[in-house]
Amino acid sequence: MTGAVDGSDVHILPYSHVVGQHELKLALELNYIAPRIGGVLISGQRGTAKSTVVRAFSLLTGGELPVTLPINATDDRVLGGWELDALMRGEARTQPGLLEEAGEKGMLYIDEVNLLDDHIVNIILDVVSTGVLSVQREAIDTVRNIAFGLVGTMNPEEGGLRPQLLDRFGLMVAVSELDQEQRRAMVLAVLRFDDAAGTDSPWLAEGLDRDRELRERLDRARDSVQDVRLSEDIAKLCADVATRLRAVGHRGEVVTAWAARALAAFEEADAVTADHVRRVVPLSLRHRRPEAAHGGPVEWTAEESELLDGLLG
Amino acid sequence: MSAPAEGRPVGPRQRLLQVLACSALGPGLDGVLLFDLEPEMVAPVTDAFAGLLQLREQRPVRRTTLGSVTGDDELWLRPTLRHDGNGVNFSLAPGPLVDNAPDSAMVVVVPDLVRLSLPGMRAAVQLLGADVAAVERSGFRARWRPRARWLAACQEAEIGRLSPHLLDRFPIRLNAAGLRRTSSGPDRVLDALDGREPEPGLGELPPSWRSALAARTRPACTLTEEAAAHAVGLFRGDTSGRRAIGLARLARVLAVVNGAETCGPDRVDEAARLLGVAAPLATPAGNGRSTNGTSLATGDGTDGRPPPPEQPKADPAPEDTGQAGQPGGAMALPAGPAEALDTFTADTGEERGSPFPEDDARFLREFAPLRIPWQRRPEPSSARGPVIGVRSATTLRDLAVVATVVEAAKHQNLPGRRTLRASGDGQLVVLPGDFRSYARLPVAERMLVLLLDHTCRRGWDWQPALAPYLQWAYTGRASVCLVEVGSKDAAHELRADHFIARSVLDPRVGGALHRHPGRSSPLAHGLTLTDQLLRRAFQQRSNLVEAWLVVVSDGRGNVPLDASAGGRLLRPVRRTGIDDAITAAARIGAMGRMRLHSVVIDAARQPHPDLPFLLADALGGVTVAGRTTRGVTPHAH
Repeated sequence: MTGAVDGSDVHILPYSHVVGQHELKLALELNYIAPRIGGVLISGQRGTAKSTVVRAFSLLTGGELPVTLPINATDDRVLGGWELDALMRGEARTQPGLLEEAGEKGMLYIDEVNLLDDHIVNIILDVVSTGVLSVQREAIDTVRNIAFGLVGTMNPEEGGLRPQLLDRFGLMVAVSELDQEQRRAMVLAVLRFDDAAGTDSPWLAEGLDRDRELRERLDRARDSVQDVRLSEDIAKLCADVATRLRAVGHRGEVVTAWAARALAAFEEADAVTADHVRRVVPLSLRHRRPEAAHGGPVEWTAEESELLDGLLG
Repeated sequence: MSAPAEGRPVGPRQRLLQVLACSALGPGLDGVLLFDLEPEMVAPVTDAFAGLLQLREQRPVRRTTLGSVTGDDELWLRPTLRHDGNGVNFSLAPGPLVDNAPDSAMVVVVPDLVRLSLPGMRAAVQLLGADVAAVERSGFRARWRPRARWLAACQEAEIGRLSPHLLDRFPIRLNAAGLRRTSSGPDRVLDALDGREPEPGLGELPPSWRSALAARTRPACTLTEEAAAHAVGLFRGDTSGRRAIGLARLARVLAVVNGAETCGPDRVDEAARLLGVAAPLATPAGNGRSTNGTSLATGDGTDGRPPPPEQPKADPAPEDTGQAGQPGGAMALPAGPAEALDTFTADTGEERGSPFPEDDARFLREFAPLRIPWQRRPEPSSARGPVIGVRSATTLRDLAVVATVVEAAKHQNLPGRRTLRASGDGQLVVLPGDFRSYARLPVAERMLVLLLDHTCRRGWDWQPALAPYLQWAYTGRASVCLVEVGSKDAAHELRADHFIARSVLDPRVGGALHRHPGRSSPLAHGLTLTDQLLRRAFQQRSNLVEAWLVVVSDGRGNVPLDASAGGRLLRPVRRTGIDDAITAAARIGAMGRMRLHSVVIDAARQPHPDLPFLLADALGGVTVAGRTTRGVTPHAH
């Protein structure tokens, strides 16, 4: 898929042609179906196509690249400020910040989120936790309510996230290495895309067709997610799992319920089942376990997997 | 490869040219990392790369060089100030790394990747191999598809200092230690005077490569399934997927240059040979082997050699020629007899070990090296730290662009400004008084001063006693000032040595902890030196918020201060060495610095166990037990 941005063509591999990464794709899809999940944190070693998947998914769902907060951003661009060129012409014209833009589009993507300056992290946390963007600086005085989901990618080799920021991501995915066969398919897909990007290649068109089908299915799920029943028993199950896993805070059980509901909607089920919960818990509670929340490993231990199997079957 | 077919052997220069040409041909081969390139060769290699790129892109090539003091604003923005008679004209343009200009290509040159500034490294991670890049700074925003090629050099022995995350962005690696200027001695001087730089020139590139570079359309060339499997099989399963992709891309470029319509496993082997990628052991059957019958057997006498058991280790001594294959394991894919690549011995990647030496390198970098630490850069502390406000600028350094323009805007309708503005011109008039610079939170600095008396160390592992102080220095990003006395390796046995390191991760610190003891202990000189260093630090570093002085000694200095100064012993020492040390320690104590904590780690040596306590008293500090044997218990005095 291509998109012209600021005069240049940006080519992104179609989402359907991304090899593997099923858990990552599931997390993004659930977050799209139920935005109240609050976003996705994607942690993975270098070269695992984390950013490509996010951008491809954004093109699939919104037709444009995500609102991106680069690690070089300064606070005036995050919060909003003045248009410099206009000011130089003697015109006072405000320039919306990335947070405001994300509020309109519903998502803020932060590449290499763990390399973000602490100062910028504080600004984001203020806004995400209060839902209020208050700018009172440089002769600007505005207050507005905004809400958006955070999507971040990070390489754990470069350090973890502060617990407060970690908790703001609804779901977390630990991107796994591909096996040899998947790697082979990935190499083929990437080189094929090198040739096909910007052309009317049938292979590319096929990928875009499959993307469109997926988009329609996701939209149907998004429209119906409110109608999916979540029984008292399932709600209790979500709470039980969070308790047994000693999840930090109470956001975990709520996100689990929303994610399970989104999965049920995606599979066109009328009600959430224990199986739906079982499949989303690794995403919703992974980073809320005490060890992971405080910088420890995010992988599930054998004991935790057994516990989940015992509770959820 | 075509060069031999055209009757010419492939030397290190041609190999380098081919690698650079591959990057120019691309796509996706934007980062080139050269190991052990002589600094004087950086400019000629850059010229060659720019020449290749110009041939490929048919447009001028812009060069940007990044160094150790390159900051974020210099990378992403280009503020321009112009005085036009009516005030200052001000504009912000895309910085040198924003390569979205349609009329030029770009090469980013990093002469020493290890010493690249942190903003430079973070920029490399953002740009290299990315589908899209963005900048959002000071009212300026841009999005573009990065197309710049990066040419970086670094010493292979220092690779452990770099983030693997950063290194992973360089798909093309080559050991360039063998690259030398062709002329030497008087010829070289004359060449330089005449402006004749002997450099890898485009003329050395085989015609088929030149044709491929000049071609406007790239011929279709399909990577076969077998080739993809082979590229994947050459790397361990836990390595980055970018490596196999990079190798496959390189193989396809080679196939295109050779006019092939498909790229099979033989081309992957050829690419692996070009870079020096080693064949792994125990490749799954049918996965890591060329399927077109091309043998892995060598043409250089290594036929039938069984693959060694591990991946190769990084060559710790780049000067060595490494004749005997790969240390520690797998051998480089050898050159086939039909090619001249194996005519090199010392200068090729394949002889040098893995092109990914970071896999086996010693861990010398900081934890999370790409994160902005509490302190890092050598600039004045006022230019660092988070922004906490703006103030009137006295220089053009660290300008707050938006605040400056807003300040100017407030005064536009004052009569003085109106007269400066041309009639009907809406341009903002900025006067020098409008300029604002950032006020930044001062960055706290910490320092560990370590005085090691090696003569007290016999039979004692002092590292556990030192560990808390070293850990403090690490977590506080403290600089380390290390004073050594009594080392067998001392430059002068009657004098103390010292060095200042940016952090405890400096290898010299580790080396100092393991030196063998000598005979003399110029403790008095060591403490005098320490006194001078501390005074200088407190005078010059206004943000020095905390310093620890840790003295590890038994207090038995046996070299008087005048002997250290004169470099020879003039009379019997007796107690003079000890007394001089106590006097020097007292001078440190007399500084009365609240931010200086002094501690003496007691080496507990007989027959004078009281000396460390006397030293601590003189310093105004405490004694802690170091050696816990011989009945000495840990305590503070």
